[in-house]
Amino acid sequence: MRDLTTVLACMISAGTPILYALIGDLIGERAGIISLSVEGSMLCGACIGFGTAVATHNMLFAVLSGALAGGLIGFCQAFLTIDRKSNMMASGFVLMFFAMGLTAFYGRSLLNISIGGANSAGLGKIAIPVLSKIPVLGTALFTQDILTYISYLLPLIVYFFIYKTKYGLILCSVGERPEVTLAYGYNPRLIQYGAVIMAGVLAGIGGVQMSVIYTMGWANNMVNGRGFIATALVILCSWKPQRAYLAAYLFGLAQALQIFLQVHSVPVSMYITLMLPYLLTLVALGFISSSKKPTMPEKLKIVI
Amino acid sequence: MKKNYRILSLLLVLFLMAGIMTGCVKKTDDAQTSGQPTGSGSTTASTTATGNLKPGEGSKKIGIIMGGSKDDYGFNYAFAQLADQVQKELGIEAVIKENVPTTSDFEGVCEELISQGCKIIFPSQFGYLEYAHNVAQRHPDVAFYSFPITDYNGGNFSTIHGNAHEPWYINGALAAMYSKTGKVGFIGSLPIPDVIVSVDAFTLGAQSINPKIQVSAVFTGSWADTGLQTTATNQLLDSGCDVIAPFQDSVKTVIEICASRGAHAFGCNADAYSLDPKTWLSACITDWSGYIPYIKAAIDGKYENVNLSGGFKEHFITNAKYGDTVTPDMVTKLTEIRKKIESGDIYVFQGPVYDQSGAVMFKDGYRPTIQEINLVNKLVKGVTGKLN
Amino acid sequence: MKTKTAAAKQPSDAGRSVALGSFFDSTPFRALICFVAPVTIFGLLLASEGKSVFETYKTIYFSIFGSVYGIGEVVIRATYLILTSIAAILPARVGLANAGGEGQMAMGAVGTAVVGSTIFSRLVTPVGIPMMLLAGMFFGALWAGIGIYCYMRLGMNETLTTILMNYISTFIIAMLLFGVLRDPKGWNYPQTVQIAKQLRFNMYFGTRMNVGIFIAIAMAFFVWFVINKTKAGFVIRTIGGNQNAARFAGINVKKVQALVFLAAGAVAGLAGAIMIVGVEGRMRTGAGETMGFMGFLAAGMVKNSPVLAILSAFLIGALNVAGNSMEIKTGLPAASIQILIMLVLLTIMTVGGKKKS
Repeated sequence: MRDLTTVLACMISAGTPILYALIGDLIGERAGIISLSVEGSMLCGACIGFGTAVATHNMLFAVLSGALAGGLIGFCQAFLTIDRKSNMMASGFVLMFFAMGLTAFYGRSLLNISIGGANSAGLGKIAIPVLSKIPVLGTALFTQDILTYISYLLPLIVYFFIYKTKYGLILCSVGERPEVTLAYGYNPRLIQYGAVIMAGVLAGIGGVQMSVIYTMGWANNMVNGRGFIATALVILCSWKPQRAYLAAYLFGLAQALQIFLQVHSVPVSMYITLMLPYLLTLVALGFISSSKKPTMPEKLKIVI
Repeated sequence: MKKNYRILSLLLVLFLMAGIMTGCVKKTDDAQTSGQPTGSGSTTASTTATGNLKPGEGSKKIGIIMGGSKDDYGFNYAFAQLADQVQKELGIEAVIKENVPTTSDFEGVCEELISQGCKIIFPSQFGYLEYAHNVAQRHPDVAFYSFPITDYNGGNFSTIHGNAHEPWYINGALAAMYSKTGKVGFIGSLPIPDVIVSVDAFTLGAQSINPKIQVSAVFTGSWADTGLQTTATNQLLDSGCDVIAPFQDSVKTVIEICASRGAHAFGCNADAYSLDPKTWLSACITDWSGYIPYIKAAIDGKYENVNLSGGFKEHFITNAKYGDTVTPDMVTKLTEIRKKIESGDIYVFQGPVYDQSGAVMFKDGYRPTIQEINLVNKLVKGVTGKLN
Repeated sequence: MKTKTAAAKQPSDAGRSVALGSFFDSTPFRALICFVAPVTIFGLLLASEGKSVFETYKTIYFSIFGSVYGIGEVVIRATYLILTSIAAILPARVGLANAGGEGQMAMGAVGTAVVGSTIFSRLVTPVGIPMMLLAGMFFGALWAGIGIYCYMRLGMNETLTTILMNYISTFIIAMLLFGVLRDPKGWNYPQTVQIAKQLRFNMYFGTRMNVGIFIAIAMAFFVWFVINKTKAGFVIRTIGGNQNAARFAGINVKKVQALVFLAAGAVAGLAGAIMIVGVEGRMRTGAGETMGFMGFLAAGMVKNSPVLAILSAFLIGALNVAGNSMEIKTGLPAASIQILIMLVLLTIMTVGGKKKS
């Protein structure tokens, strides 16, 4: 029973940064732009968010600065792909490496700093009164930090936004038929900009969650491909926000199992367990792609 | 596409021009060296020019080449401290190059360091060995002190090795004194010999205090994936461990999490006492004071090829400052163990040593050589986890 | 106002003052921007960290042009980059994106290292080296084959599949190097057995330069020739132009795509083979890291032209080498050279020739 709680808790904490990036990228892809740059946004968010958290001990500032940093990378991605018509994949890679260099350059002084007094700064875990008493699930799911709780709601919010509001419809129309958007009197270009920047902002917040709360430290290139995984997982959830839980926590579960299998001496090669997150994502991707016709936004079909 | 072509070519021309403008002085030297018909020619030229000098003689700079970032509170941080120490005690400059992959790229970096005046080179990773040896043959006037102990040494290429198992043995003893649950976690990176020796020595040390202690070893497959470190630390603590010993380049995350959960943590290859004195226990760190005399001798022109290998006694390796919660009692006990190791009463891998399956690794009373210890490819009895 | 998309912008551009407009659109001006902008921005970053801007740039240039050895290092990097960029260019010409050059190169390298120390170890040089290169190509194609199979049969996105496979390949290689392929005489460290001496390239001018660069350049021209001058190339261009049209013309699009993708994998594998035969001699973890990604970018920089990729490969290779000396001289982290490389790429993307929409 305790093992189950452990795995669940690790799954949630490992999956949360991915969930942010995933939802962000999903919004961008709904508008017809794939942002591989979420990797870069996460890195920038992680670095700058951590720096702000150390300097101000204020969670709000940390999140805002991380979101801003991620959003800036998102803006670059939007500018390059929308206005300059450059290859989405290539610009995503470029921005990722750019972020890597930039964070290594400026994050150097953060490497040795410990965040100390985390609990006082609103970064600590909060147990939700009633729910946290549920056996197994209570400790794993409802004794978390504030950003994790927000991430629980995020896919729902985006779900309502996309399916129940006018603006969601317009966002999707940009990814399907920009002519329709135009006919409704909206500027598809501006909406794309907004969506891609939003992708960066959310990924940046994911980065903050990762550096400030999850690992409590900044290390060079700490995101280590999680942004790419998020992008792959968008396809896995067929561009439907409600499936983001499944996709993100699949990765979280894989990472929890990486260690779990080793701690419990399960006779599987260590390297197999280490490649689990990538392998599982790949297998799930294959499963989804082959079994169903994915509901891909029209605009993406040209790119992909 | 046409336009891009022109832009690119012009860009290259601009880069070239700028290069020639700033680099014209050196360019002329170049013309001379490249005038030589073959590479070996230019090498011999440099040999004869400096033939009278002993390796490392009169060096104003030492070069340190490391595989990661120097601020990692880990293995590379230790080398950064060598740089500080050399600067302080010998008054010569230390040039550090970080993040060099363990591939033949090393040669390029090394040549660059030598061209900037480094006459003494410390390659820190095993992977550099072969390439460092190549460079050493090209530059007989440069003294090399390469890390792991191997049979490469000769001429201006010395090998040095600190017996990491001795401090790790003491770490193990300390962990056993601390652990109330009788379970200790070890977070390895990749199963390279240094890590295997460390986890084995750690376990043997722990068993010397509490024979029933269990060491739970997991591997993260990378040196600084902090996300995975977090998961590993949390799971190990959840599974009942109350002391964590990471063998990672960046241990900050592990220490922070242990602090927030009231457990204790070791460091790895660097003194990170200041991060959290209450959580911190100790770490195995390189004691550079044993090496400094050799560097000094080389600078004074008294270089000798050495195959240095030693532990506490030779001042090659030591334990970092103990944490605030380590009681004077424990310190006394640990100092005793240390004295015994120094005097040879305790030999970490003295047989009988059994592997996980219970088979004999070193038979009763046998004291394996350093080479044999470094070739250990199995976990000892009492460790859960596996190497493949 | 609202309708001002990139496409609608064209006419207003044309309406601008001809003389001024043509100057700002002219190639020399753009090239100047591509040079000045990154250098200025990076200079500002350096200044903000309190480093001497001029000294740093001097270091960068010296390390590239200052010695034969520096040039040799650039050439070696360029060799891999040319080949990995071709590995990205070929599939792009048939409407696919191969971001897996990294993994394909690594797999090619590991395969070459294995055959070079086992079944091919007794071959004489003139037979052995071509066989080694072919082996590398085979293993690279094999790894690419998994990717293209996922795309063809399972309908998976090939870019993301290959990116994920890069990560998987690093773990597979680690598994091999720590396991069955570990050199028994390698003091227990993760590396393969050294390949036979006669299977290595000679190195020239006291540097690590070898004939690999000529193979790479020849490969670039060969690919250009195939694409532009042959019948097969016509098919490739047709598919690249319009897949539906190609389908109507009776071309088996999927088959051609698969073959081209395999060829791309083979070229990336060749890069790995040259790495082993040329400078490495044995496989280690981390050998050739980031060369695949950088090659992908080098390809993106020249809009998928194989011959131009030679130029971009040299540019990226040179900056990459400069990063090392910059770090040694100024103490900046090596990753910061990536800022400069990426700034160059970003500016080229920004001011470079506009693609037709």
